[in-house]
Amino acid sequence: MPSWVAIYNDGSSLSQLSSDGVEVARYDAIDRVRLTHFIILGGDGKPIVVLHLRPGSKLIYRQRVELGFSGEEKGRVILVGWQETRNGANFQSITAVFPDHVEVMGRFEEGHPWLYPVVFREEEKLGV
Amino acid sequence: MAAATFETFLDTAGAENAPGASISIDALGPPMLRFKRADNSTIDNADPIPIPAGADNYSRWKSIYLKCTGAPSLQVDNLRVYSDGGIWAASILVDVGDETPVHNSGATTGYDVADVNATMVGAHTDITGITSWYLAVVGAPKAVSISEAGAIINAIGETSNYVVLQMHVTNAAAPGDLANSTGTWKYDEI
Repeated sequence: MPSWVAIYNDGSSLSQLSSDGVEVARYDAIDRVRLTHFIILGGDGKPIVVLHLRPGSKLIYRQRVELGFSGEEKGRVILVGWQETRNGANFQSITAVFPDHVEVMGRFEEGHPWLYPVVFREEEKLGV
Repeated sequence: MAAATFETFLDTAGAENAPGASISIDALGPPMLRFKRADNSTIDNADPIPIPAGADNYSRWKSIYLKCTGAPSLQVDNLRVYSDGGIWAASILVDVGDETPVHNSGATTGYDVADVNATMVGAHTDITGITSWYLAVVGAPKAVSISEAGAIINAIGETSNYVVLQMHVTNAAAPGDLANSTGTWKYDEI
């Protein structure tokens, strides 16, 4: 199960998990004003993705899960990226981490089996 | 930290807005659902759908939903469902209700007892249209509403709304057992 670490502009950080693997922070606790980097860690604690964020960029993070009617998990893909407004236009960058490869897209795409849009949380929306 | 866990539940029998039985279908199979003329969750060969001489015959409709058995860190949303797209035969069809009637951790107001040999359109009080289940595929899944607070699932016992499925058989069908088909949920977790 992946987890994350948020790195702030003063060098401090917020980790989702404690050193013994207990969850101590949730996604909605991230201070987005000070956020400069968002690191996804694999189940072994090693970094998978290091996302660099510019001021004004809105972090987006999800795990997209495929589940059979039997309750068996069939797939889990990490979606991490950002969106921002430049010259009045919306720009996105989305990285999808599959078990065996990584895909990068310029924006979410309706109809894609895995990279269709998320439902943005308030803190992920532009202008908030 | 563990991922959220879910089970697929089926509601049967009872009365309007009050199912008589709710059972996790995870341990029933495969197959975990069987379309037939009886309104129960039993996986058996009883109560088959007869091949009609004229107009189509219908199974009882199946009211299923996703139920949280292990809570996520923050939320689950953006729920979708789809088939494997593998239609059995042009004469043996499965439909999904266009609406996803209300089911949540405190209400079953979208439940309607499955009628005998009637299309769910109109007979189910919350369904006004249907689409072929086989058109709901991985690239074009069916969106499933969540009627919990905030339209998210974030606690054990919270659920999706109902997805209502029904088989109908035309007079061109051939008798026999069909191969298993698969259904899949997809959602976003934080």
